[in-house]
Amino acid sequence: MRLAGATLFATLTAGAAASQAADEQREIRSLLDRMVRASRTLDYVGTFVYRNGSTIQSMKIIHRADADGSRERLVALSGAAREVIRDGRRVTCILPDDRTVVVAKRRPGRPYPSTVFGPEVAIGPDVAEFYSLSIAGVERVADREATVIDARPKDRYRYGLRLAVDHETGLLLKSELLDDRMTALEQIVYTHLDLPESIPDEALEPRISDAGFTRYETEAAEGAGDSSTARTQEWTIGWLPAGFRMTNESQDPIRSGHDPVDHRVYGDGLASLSIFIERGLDEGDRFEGPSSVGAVNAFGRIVEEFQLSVVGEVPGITVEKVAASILKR
Amino acid sequence: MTVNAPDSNEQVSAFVDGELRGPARDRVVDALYGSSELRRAWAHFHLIGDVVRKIGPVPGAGSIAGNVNAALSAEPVVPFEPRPRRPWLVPLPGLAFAAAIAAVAVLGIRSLDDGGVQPPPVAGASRPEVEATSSLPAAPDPAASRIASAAAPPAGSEAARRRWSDVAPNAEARLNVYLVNHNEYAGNGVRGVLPYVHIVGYQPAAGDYR
Repeated sequence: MRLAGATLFATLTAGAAASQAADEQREIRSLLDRMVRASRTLDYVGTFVYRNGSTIQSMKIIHRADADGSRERLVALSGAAREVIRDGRRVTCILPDDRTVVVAKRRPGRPYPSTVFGPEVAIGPDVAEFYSLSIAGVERVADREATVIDARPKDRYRYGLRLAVDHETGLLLKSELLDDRMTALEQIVYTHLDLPESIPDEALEPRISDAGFTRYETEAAEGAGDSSTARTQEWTIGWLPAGFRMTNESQDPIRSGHDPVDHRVYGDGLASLSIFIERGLDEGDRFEGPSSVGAVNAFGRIVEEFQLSVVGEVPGITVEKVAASILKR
Repeated sequence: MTVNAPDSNEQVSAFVDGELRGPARDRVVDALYGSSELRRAWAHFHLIGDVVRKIGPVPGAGSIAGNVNAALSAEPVVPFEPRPRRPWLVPLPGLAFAAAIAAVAVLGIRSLDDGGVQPPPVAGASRPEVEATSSLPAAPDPAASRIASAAAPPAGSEAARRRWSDVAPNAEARLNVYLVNHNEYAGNGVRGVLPYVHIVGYQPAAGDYR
């Protein structure tokens, strides 16, 4: 009888734990969905810091979600008062110290991301297959309370993430990329955030006059870069980390007068990598083997006259294995 | 060994696009060495190409330079006396320092090690280890050196070491281009990383100005 009681107790306890775990996963899912909505729909003004190793960069951001998309202004907070203003159609860079304005228009059909901080697209439920998602607690960021979500990879082929999501708004307040020891490889964190009821047009205009500046405008032509070609199909990718699917395929014109570079992007919803296949590089431009900068790893191979390169914010082992698996049909 | 004035900007444009070879390329290099106006044009061609590439691929990079060329053609080109070409003035085809210049120029950068960027007056001056490969014409030009100094990290700082590891300079430039395109197409992802972020973290040596 005592044994039966113990068994019943264990069963009930396990059931409660499972239920609790399911609740936690539902809460995480809700937070992630809310984060996506918030970054798309809210108006905000904030300052944030990007840190990578000993490099730190501070910027002010003014973000307005308009009916026809978002408009955003970035201002460098140190050094020259350079500004970047962008919406779905164009980006304008004002470089006062060079007395130059550069305006570049976006190709139709591929709007510019509406925000520099916060997810653009919904995060698929299968992310939980490749990461252990958990709520790590509550943290204060930019004088606001945030729920911290940890995403620990279930294999060694991707980095971990720690996200701090604002209680009140759902905005992403802090984002860290973590190595296998859960040490931050890089961070983006708000130091201040305001949520004004509205953002006037003036706040999205450059603060500095560009009178007398040299102005350059460029316009991307329509319909470039999206067509798959026979050449792209000549290559097969033999291995990718579990859950990595192709999210984009394009041909990037990099050098005029040369073949465009075949470019495929693969991702698991949180991490991504690119494969580039380029023909006819000069000897000095080629590279073989591993390389890295910050949390980004790359691996190059030469196959016949082609440079194969894998680049992504994933561990070195991942780009190497992917690169090694590329085969010419 | 001179570049005819009416065509100079066009040739610098072609040079930036990596379209010149042999003597034609040498002539432009000589011209850049002798003309601050041309160096300014050269810097702008690169800058614009980089900015454009950050928002998406453009068919025929040469057309970018071509558009700019029209604007630049209104600027006077100062005649120059050709000087002996330095052997390390080797042009890098295509995008050269690619992403780093525009991103660093636009966003600014600080190093925790020294509290801020302390640019050298002339590219390469503070980095003797790369001086031999520096290809920015040495004559001081305000536009070029401003851009160069915005990107040149303080010698000896951690930032100065934040570069692609284990690759030759030209391959490093190529990797930068790939990284820009990767960021463009991979999107911001959940972390919402701004496309410029890694590029800003990347610190070109002064020698990248080729």
